[in-house]
Amino acid sequence: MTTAAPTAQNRSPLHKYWVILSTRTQEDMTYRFNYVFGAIFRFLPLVTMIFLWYAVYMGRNMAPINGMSFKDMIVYNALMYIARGFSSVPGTMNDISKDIKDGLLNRYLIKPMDYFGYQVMYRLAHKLVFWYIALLTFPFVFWFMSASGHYFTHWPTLWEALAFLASLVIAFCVGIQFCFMIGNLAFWFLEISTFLFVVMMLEFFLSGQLIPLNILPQWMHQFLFLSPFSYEGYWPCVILMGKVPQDQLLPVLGRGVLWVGVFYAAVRVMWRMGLKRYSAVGG
Amino acid sequence: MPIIEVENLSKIYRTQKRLPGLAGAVKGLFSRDYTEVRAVDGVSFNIEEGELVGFLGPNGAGKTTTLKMLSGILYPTSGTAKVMGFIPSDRKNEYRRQFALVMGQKNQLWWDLPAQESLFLNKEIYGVSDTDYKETLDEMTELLQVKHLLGIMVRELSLGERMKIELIASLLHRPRVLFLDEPTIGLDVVAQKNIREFIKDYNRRTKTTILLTSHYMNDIQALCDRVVVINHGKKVFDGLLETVVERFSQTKRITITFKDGGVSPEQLAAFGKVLESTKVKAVLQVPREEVKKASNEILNRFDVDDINIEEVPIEEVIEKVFEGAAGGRP
Amino acid sequence: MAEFSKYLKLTGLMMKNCLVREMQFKANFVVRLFTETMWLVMQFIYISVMYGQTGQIAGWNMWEMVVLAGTNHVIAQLFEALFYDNCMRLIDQIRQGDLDFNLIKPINTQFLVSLRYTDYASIVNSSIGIGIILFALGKLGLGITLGGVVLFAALVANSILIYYSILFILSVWTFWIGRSNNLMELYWQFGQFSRYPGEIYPWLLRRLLQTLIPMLIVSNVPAGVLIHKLQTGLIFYGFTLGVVFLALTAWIWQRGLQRYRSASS
Repeated sequence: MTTAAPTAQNRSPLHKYWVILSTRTQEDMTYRFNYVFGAIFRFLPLVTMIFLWYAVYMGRNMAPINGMSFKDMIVYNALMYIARGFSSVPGTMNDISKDIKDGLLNRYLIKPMDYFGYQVMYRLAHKLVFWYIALLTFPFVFWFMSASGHYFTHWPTLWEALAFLASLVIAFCVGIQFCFMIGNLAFWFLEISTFLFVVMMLEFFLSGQLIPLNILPQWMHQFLFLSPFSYEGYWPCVILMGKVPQDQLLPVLGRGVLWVGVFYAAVRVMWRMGLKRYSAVGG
Repeated sequence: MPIIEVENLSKIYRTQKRLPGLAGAVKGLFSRDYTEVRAVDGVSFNIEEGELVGFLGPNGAGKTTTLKMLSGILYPTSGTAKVMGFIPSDRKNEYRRQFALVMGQKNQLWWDLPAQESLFLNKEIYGVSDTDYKETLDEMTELLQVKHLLGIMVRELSLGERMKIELIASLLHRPRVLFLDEPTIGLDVVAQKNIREFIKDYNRRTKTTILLTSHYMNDIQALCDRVVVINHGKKVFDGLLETVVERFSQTKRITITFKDGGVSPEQLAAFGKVLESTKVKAVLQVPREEVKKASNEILNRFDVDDINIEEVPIEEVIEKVFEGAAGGRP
Repeated sequence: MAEFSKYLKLTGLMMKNCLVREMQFKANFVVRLFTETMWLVMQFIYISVMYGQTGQIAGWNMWEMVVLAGTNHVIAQLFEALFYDNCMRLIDQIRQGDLDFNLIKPINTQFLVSLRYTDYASIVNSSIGIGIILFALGKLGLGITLGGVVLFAALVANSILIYYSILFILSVWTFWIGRSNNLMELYWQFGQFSRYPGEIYPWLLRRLLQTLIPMLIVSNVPAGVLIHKLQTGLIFYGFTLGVVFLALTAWIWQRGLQRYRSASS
């Protein structure tokens, strides 16, 4: 919570955000067991999913489902782990709505910084450690996957690789802005924790984390592919897997950026209206 | 045979040393240094049945830690404690049925329920019979004047009211030994006084052995004849409250009222330290052994209306003991 | 026996207290019902998408899978009703030094910290699971016998205790590592394993999930009784496991208490 010392006046205005970031990371590191366990066991659902899909494919003699072979399915789920690592920021909605409800906002409002800027840094810090661990483990996972069973059959082109990186950034932006939006609802509604749960389940489904969006019934595709949530998981996965034709890469990313913009605007508008309300009732 | 026997009791905590900054945190992931904190360091004392003993010391001196070891909440690092012949850390049910612990800073009542529900649960846990329960409850609620509060949600009670209910909850099973940890902390003066009087009266009537810690000298002065003082985990004094003053204060105070003024502080400085000096009144601090001589001479030399010799107020003495300024460690 | 009835009475008393408490927050009740039902619907979408692609998964047809899901729901909800909250609170109590009053009571402390809070919404939710099981059994054309119901109930109770043991041990870990909310996340992650038939896992993993982390015993064995898909040996094994795990919790709890620091608030 501590911001930069007053002597830091000649430093870049962004310095304080760095301090938030590093303080938060320290917090995480202090409990090392907690961290290591958390990072390792987040792989567990992946294990169940792989074996379950294997059983499904065995039941249909390994015939692909809507163009997704079993190997595709594995790669999709592994990539989903990375994509959701970028787009899901657990606790954000809850913390923001709590800050608003319990009147804790005041202690941020009196500080010379942007609340959402603070939040982004705070969350980013948490993510950094995760990304760091992912960076160490994932090359190994992918190497194993390609060496053992040639799961990773498609080697991405340069364009696909770049589009993948861009889509991860979009995933983070969409994910966190969405959290801000929902968190802001606390200005108007007293009890939103249930709503949060429902929203998170929808996210789980609409992002393609539960089931790859392209194997769901055809009539849903139009809606699913256009929804902002598809950028939180589905698109990064299929882009790197080479399932998106090269001429479609830019339009897909473009729509994603558009969503980021829409969400950003919505967050700002809600924040402004919310604060008016907040100060009106005296916090 | 003493009801509480404490011998060489120690509690040492190991805490991790951490270097500042992110680099320190990363380093801490791989190797850790520990520092030892001696919360209680070789404390010994005995308490006889029926005594009401005050446990004094500044914050972090180890009072609460000692009480928690006597309650079996914490395991001692070394040394032994015996209460009613039991070793507290064994947490035998026979032992736990016979003592109680009240902590001013912690709460054992159910927050979202009327106070009486918590009391009833305690009755069942301690296996108190219906008649005993009713009798004790009537008596206590009468004494503490909280009968009307029993049906009220605990979260809606004031701190003072809650403390009274806490006391009742802890006394339902008529413990032989009672540990009170800061029972009056944060309470207003009236509530403090009520609780103080209740404790004193309870000790006198039931001969329950009570060990009490408090920040407020008022509590200690009103309740305890005997005090145990600890500082930095070590015992520095054990004895009657009055003798604390004799032991730790080498001075007394002489208050003089002059008939027609005109005595300057410089004239008085020869006898001792001048604490206060106005036209008609002066307060001097004089070494114990010189008090007689000094007062004689003052009476001879000045036109004195009244002279009064007193001990230094106990708060000040204790304060000095805590600061470690007072010499003469026993 | 007198001792046992005392503990039974205390359990009832604490449950009553929680009910009184819960009555004050009625809205919470409805809301919980809604979210848990949503969660179930999601699971059924998942199951139906899978069975849209193949008639059977590892030898289980769709309605057998639904019985498994329903059984798992009943067990998980009842576990959450009785123990989940308590385990979560235990972590905070250990860290913040709020165990003190529990430790001085002349009663089994593990009992006291494990059963203090009851979550009634979860009890109601578990009945939805029973409805699902009955519906699926009807689709399968399987009847139920009294003996079957009794055995099923005993196995469900045993599974709840195994769940409890695992989670309790994870919570008590806090004595050693200082914080373990990520460990609690393990509960949700482990829960994944119990949702599907053991047959989908390779040999080694399957054995692991039947012994060290017995998530397959927890769900597959009771469900197996209902759909006649079980070896008798596993039933006895399941009960033995329950006893062993419960004994383990008591041992670890005692070890942990020696490290309790009772930090002041």
